Amino acid sequence: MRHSGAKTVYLLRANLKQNKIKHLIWIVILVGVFASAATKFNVLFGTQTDINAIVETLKTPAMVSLFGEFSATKPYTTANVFASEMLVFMGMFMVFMNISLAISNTRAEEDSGLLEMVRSRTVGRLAPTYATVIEILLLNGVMGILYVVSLIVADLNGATMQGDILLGVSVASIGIMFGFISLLLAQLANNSRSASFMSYGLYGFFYIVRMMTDVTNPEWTWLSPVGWIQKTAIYTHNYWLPVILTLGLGLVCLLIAIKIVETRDIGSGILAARNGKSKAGKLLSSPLGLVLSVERNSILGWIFGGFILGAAYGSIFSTIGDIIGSNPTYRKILGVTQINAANRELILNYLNMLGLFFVAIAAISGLLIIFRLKSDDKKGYLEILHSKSISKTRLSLSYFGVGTIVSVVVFAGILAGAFFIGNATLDHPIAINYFWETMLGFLPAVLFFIGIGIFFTGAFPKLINALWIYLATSILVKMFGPLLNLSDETANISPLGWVGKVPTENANNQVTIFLIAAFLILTILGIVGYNKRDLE
Amino acid sequence: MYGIGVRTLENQIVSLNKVEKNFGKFQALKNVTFDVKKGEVVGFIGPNGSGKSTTIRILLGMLKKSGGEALIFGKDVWKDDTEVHKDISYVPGDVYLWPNLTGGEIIDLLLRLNGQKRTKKTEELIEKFQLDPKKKARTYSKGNRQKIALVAALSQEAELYIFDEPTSGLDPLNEKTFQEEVLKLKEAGKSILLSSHILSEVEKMCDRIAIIREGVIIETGDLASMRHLTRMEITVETKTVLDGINQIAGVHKVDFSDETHQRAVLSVDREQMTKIMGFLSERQIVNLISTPPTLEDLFMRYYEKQGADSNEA
Repeated sequence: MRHSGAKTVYLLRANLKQNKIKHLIWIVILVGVFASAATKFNVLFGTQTDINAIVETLKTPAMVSLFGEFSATKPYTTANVFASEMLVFMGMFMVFMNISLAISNTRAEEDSGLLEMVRSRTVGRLAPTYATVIEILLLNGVMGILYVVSLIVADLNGATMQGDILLGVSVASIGIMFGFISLLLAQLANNSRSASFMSYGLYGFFYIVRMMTDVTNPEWTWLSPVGWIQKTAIYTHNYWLPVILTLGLGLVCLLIAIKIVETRDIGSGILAARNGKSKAGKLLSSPLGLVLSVERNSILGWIFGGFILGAAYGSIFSTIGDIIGSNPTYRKILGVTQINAANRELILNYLNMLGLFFVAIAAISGLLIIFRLKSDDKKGYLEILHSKSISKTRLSLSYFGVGTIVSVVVFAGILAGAFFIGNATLDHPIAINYFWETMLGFLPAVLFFIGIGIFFTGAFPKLINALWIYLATSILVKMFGPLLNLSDETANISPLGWVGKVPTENANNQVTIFLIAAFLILTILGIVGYNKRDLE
Repeated sequence: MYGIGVRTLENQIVSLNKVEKNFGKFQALKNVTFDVKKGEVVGFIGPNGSGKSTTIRILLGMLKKSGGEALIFGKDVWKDDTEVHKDISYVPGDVYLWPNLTGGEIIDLLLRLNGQKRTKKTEELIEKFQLDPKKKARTYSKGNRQKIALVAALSQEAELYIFDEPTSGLDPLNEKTFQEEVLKLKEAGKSILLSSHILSEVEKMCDRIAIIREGVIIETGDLASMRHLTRMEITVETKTVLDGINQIAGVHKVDFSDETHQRAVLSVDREQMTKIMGFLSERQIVNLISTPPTLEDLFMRYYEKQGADSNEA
């Protein structure tokens, strides 16, 4: 037991070397967005009028659902606005980064057999876990410091040193917490896929709880660990308790994880692997059936989870409408029909904003399946399949087809969740054609990303990570572009900029046709590429 | 004698002619030329990294050759891959399987992908290899994953069976089962290409062998014709001392296993056998065991020859 941490430092160095590029990309993108926003905020929201206007917007339920409760009290400052806009989203990306790090360093290495080799050396039982813990602390620590430094340099109006530090620490601490939660989940699951699935699922659950409670009654947001850092009241009261709670929960999870690592067999999980059927069902008789069977659980998870997320956003439609309806001045000036029209306009604008996330989620769900063609080839799962009388076209199309359809269904599911649950809360429901208009406007953008994914997987498999960077940049630019005073052209680096204000405006037919054509051409090129190249 | 070597198109199952493969600047295959005829078991041997798996992947249409000609059933292995694969059954060297499917499900899947079904033979093989088909693939060991691929491949109807180091993860009992099954296939007139560096297995099963080294086929032929390259190993015990034995031509290596030099292990050329036996009987043989050459010896001998040649040059 005394030497259970032996060679931790050695492993840490090996891991850091292995993950260097990945960490660098995360740091450049996240710190880049954070710092460039910080330096521009004094210009963007310098005057009290500008500040009051944006605060008014931030207090609307639509914005609260996305960015969290705006809790600062008057007089509002630039710093208040910045903290409120950054906390939830920076936290979200930090969580994703940490889940991926924690699982790829532990359970994934166990799956691949690497851990077995490492552990046969004079490496302690806990060393891989300790090394990952230190890596998580280092990465989040460095990023936290960079956040604080950029805040100090930006010197936001109304900012204090304590607030700057608290903001940086809060964002880092939610990252650390989820990194440690994932370490624990990696002990419960017996393979890395389940561990990732559980981690993202848990985050999704916490996120939805945060969103629902923020919109209805922010007191209840304490129920969601993801919401704790919103309770820091940065730049007003600077509460440190939420940070302590966040780190505390992380620590508890870590201690339990360590306890399990100490006692469990290598390759096993707390949730044991069950035996399955000795004969295959009917589905397992074609490559298509194979992809569907292997991906079944995650497909169901995406569709179900997507619908729930959509429904959660939809459930606040009536609250969004209420702002105008419940305002007596508006009530007098505008007639009932006009109020309804204004409400509808607000909700349609909200749908446009949500469309961005729905596109991202739908694209990710499909791309993960499409990219599996590459990883299955690389892992050797397909070696025997290639000796069967199945053409490469048919095999690749099975992955590409399932990926595309899953994307479409997930997108339709989220949108339907938002639209129909939303409509159920409204006295004057929105006409169904807006649903189709939104589909028509955004779905081609999903297909465009899918098309690039298919093209890369088929023809240039080494490039697939570039697509993740493109997707992330597209979302960040579209979301923070207006805040950073970037021109509209910057958002036009991707279809997220091209689709425009659908459904408040009609979808642009030219864009729709172009995106669908691009998808088809990229798909064909991807299949041709897969037929022509050596398999890995 | 001439008639035996005549190549006719019908009995030519696999034919590789000057096949090359480059990975960037690295030339993995420089000149691979050999064939497999109908009903023949061909051993494909060579050290690790010599190009065995690369050759097999070219045959299966997974890698595109950079030069030369590769045909199976007279068809191009890259262009007509789907057609060719209808009558091929293959077990890769390293078997990796979808971790969340069970062994039984994977066997069914692999059979169905070639339009076949689980048969009585499949069940028998599962029994013979002592496989638990209900377990998820992630919990199988290397040997068990290999068994799944073997059960699926052996119970598939095909004309050509390709095994890439099929027994590297099997215990001796399962290895024997495998060898029996290959013999049955051979009796049924099937053609088999078997790559290996486990040489005793090739010796037991193969009609002919092709030896590959650094991407070049250096030797092909039947075992008997290669034995000129090999030496016998003789373990001997005599009543009088064996001193002087290493002076005899044809005796290459002498290891005395006792201090009085009455017991020894010798490595000898077959051509000099009479002279050596004469020497030994003069010293009154108590015990004598002669071991036939193995392919290991053949290999060693071949490399020695290569080394000697290059030294001369």
